[in-house]
Amino acid sequence: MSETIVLEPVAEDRAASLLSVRIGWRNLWRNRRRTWLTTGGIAFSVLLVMFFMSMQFGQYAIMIDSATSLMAGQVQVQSSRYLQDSRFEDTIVEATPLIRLLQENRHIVSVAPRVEAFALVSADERSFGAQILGIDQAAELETVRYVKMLKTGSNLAGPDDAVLGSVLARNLGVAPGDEVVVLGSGKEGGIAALVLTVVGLLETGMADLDRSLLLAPLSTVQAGFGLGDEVHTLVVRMDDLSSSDRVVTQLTEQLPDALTVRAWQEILPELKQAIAVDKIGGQIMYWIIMVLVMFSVVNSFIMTVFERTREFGMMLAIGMRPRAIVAMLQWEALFLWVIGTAIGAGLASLLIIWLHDVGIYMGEQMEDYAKQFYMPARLYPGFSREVLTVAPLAMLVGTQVAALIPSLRIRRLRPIVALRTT
Amino acid sequence: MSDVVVRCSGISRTYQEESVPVQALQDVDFEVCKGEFISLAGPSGSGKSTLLNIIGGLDRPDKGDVEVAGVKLNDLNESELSDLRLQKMGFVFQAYNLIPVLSARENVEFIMQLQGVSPAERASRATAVLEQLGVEGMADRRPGELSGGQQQRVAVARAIVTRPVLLLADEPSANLDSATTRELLEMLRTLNETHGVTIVAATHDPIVMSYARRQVNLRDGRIVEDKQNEAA
Amino acid sequence: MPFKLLLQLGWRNLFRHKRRNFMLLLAICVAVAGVVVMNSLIRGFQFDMQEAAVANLTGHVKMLAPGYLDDPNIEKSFTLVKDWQPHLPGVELEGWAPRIRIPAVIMSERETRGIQLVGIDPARENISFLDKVELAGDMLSDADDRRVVIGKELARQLETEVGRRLVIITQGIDGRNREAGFRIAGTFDADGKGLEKLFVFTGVTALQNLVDAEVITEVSIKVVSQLDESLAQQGLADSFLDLDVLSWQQLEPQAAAMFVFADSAIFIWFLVMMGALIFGLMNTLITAVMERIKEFGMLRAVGMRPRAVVVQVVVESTLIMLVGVVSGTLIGWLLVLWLSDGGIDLSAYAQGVELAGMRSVLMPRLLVEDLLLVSSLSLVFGILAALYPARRAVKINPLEALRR
Repeated sequence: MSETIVLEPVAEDRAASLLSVRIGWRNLWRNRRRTWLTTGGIAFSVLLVMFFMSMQFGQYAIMIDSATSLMAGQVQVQSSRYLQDSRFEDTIVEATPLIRLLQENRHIVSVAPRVEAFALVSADERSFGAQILGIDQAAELETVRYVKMLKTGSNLAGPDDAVLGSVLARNLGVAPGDEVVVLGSGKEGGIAALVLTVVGLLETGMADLDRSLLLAPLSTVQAGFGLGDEVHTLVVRMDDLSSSDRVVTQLTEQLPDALTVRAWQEILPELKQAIAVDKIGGQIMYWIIMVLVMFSVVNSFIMTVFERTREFGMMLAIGMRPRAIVAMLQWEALFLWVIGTAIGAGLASLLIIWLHDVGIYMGEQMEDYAKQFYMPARLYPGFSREVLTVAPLAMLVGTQVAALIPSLRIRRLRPIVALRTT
Repeated sequence: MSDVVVRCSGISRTYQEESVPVQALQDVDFEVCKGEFISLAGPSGSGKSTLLNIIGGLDRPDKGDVEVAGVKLNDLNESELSDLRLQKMGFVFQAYNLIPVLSARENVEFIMQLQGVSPAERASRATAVLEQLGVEGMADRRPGELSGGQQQRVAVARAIVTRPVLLLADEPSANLDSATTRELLEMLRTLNETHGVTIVAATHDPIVMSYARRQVNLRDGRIVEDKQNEAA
Repeated sequence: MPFKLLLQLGWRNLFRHKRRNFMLLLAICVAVAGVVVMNSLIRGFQFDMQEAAVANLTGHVKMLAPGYLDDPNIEKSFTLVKDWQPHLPGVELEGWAPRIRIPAVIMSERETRGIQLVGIDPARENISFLDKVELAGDMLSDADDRRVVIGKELARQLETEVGRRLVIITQGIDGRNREAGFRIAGTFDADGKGLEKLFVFTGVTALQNLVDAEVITEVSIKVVSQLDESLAQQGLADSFLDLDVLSWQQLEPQAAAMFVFADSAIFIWFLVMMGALIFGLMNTLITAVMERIKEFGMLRAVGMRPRAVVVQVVVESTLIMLVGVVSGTLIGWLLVLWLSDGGIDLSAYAQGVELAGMRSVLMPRLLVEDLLLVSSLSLVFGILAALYPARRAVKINPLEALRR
């Protein structure tokens, strides 16, 4: 008798693996109630995570847009020394050709030059410190929003016009038509004095600005403070937020070293940080929800495997490999995922699409709070790559692992023992 | 020599049942020749199921050699044993015989799919064997929609469709009434006599024993009787 | 069937399927611990914000001259009788502080800034953030101290330092500007740069001398227990009919709105967690019922009332919930203790969290009321989740069940 093993290896053809798929699918419907509860859990968590994420991520875009478009712009150019010490003397010299150069960049929509000074503003006997901004009215209007937030009066027109923050005006006791005197120190220690007529009051809702802002025409401020063709900051509006990083790199190479180009992340670090903290908080929530649902899925598989032990014993006895049974369970997990995610993602998408237009009103009181974050009172959820992928992919990995945990027992399952269980 | 399908020599098997050792088989020699129809009988704990499982490659003896169709089972690992069962054996159990989510035809085709038989051949062989066992009308029903007897016929169909060298049955009549049991056994006898299928059935049902042509009796892990059944 | 027996049955059944019930317990633990930890973080944030709002020279209750809020000016001021003490029977005060707070311009040799000039009695400022700031140099010695304490950030912007002089211009009681030089006693490092840029402190009597009036613009009061807030407000309003007596919620409406919002956030989070849990819980309970159809049939056959079947399923669910809630709460509590050791350091995001009115270290806070509420509501959820499986169990027909 020959000692060689006469068995030919089993050909694991496509048909055999398709079989695992088919049996897996049908097994789902043996216990419909359990399948629906398990997929329900998956759907619930996908729905929640996708929806909350869309609220979060939808907000970020709006926050960044609203913050940068308010006053700061998406990109700023300043003298490197001004950035460090914010000294009045550290200006950008020959601003006009630089502005022209910037405007040649096709991603740049507009450039607003500003002179920034701190001075004492007086009316009658009252005096307050104010942030004086010398602005190019037309460029400012094209670039940012705050100049449009007039409470009363009109924008700058004549060379001696001034627009004041509403709280500053209240503190000074002035209204449109009144005169104010600006007294500060100009370049190289010279005294700067301007007499301006208030033409309008600004109400931005940002306490800092309303309390301290005084706007005057660029040339008036330049002349009054002893500056030539000099400005402190060039505020740039981009065609698209996403191009700001690229343009910053480009400009940094293009411009002399004495100038620093910054994108919004550096201009408004608090915004970037607020988003980062919010993301971390959200992520903790999402993972807890998903881990929780995973336990349900694991449990569902523990019960399934337990109930089908005999059946698995029979399959092993007639020569099915443990691997094929594990594969079958993995397919079952995949189907659960497909159904649960389809339902959850479908519902989430409907909800997001609907609320994308309608928005969620957060209440009157939240409105002021939201403003601090440059957020509107209504929240509008939005899609993003993260919204669409994170929850479904995490659940895919989760369900596969969940099915694998009880499946590990199958590798140790002895057919005769399994067949004996009741 | 060539007509010996199974050769067991000096096999012993001890189980740990609740940490008490139970001697299921003690130094048993046993041979099955091609074309035999054997019943393994004896009370519970006599070792008949253990012997059947060892022959079927589901269990391993602690001592002694087992050879099936010229293959020494002692030398095979778990995967090879699994392939051996798939290719050389047919199994009929007392219950939970069929995969509940597959139809009768799919259950029969299932095992051929594991073997990698082509779809066309699978279909024709399944049809043939279901016809042969008289359950072709039930081909598209699932096990839950079949009676116990019909289920066992489908199970037999699945067991023989691969043309195994050995058909092993463990208490095949346990869930059947006597009329259905007789029908099943008539069918097994036909398979044995006209198609030469070698059958070993562990049972304590006298009806099953009466159909077997060789009756082996076990008690306390030893073969106490091994006789030809002239009546069958 | 006696309840004790049902309880015993339920308990034993928990150990029939150890792996499954262990997974379920884990899920409950994660849910409950998640709720407890998140709850404590939100509460920490909530109280932080409130405390910051109160410590931000607001106090729980503040008395102001009418019109001061619209036009903060030395003319909108009032006087207190000599040796005035707040008389509020039944209210325990943590402290109170009289102040002058008026806008002013501050100038160094190099720079000029607009600030809030605050005249204080340093001994009374234990109720404001001044009590907790890090100080370089000295604090003001008393109400007569003629020096100033300014924020570190302001000092940086003014390019000045401790010991140097600053000129402050502010309006006197007659409406004319007063200008005076002040020496810097110290610089404070507050939690947020906003405070450091805004406030400049000097002695209240010194400031009264500057503006030529023995007046103050506000009295800020901090109570020990928040419950006394409205009582204190009422008491003061009754005795100062000609002053505005306002609570911190009225003075800091944003923080108050956020405070309320945090309450609902806690509730929403709880519902979300329980929602995610209920699928797994029902799944397990239904399986537990279905695999015991025979057993329930037998119990019904020997005379168990349908209602007792319901009770048995509910008891089992409640038991497992109870074990899960207790261990989940314990784990959550330990996690909170661990997090409380130093708090969660958000200083890498300091400017961002300042926007939200938070401090750079988030201290979780665990309230006993919250724990009790969370655990009892979780148990209610456990009972609710059991109702459907219980109804299924009642439908079991004893004869049919035994025939299977």
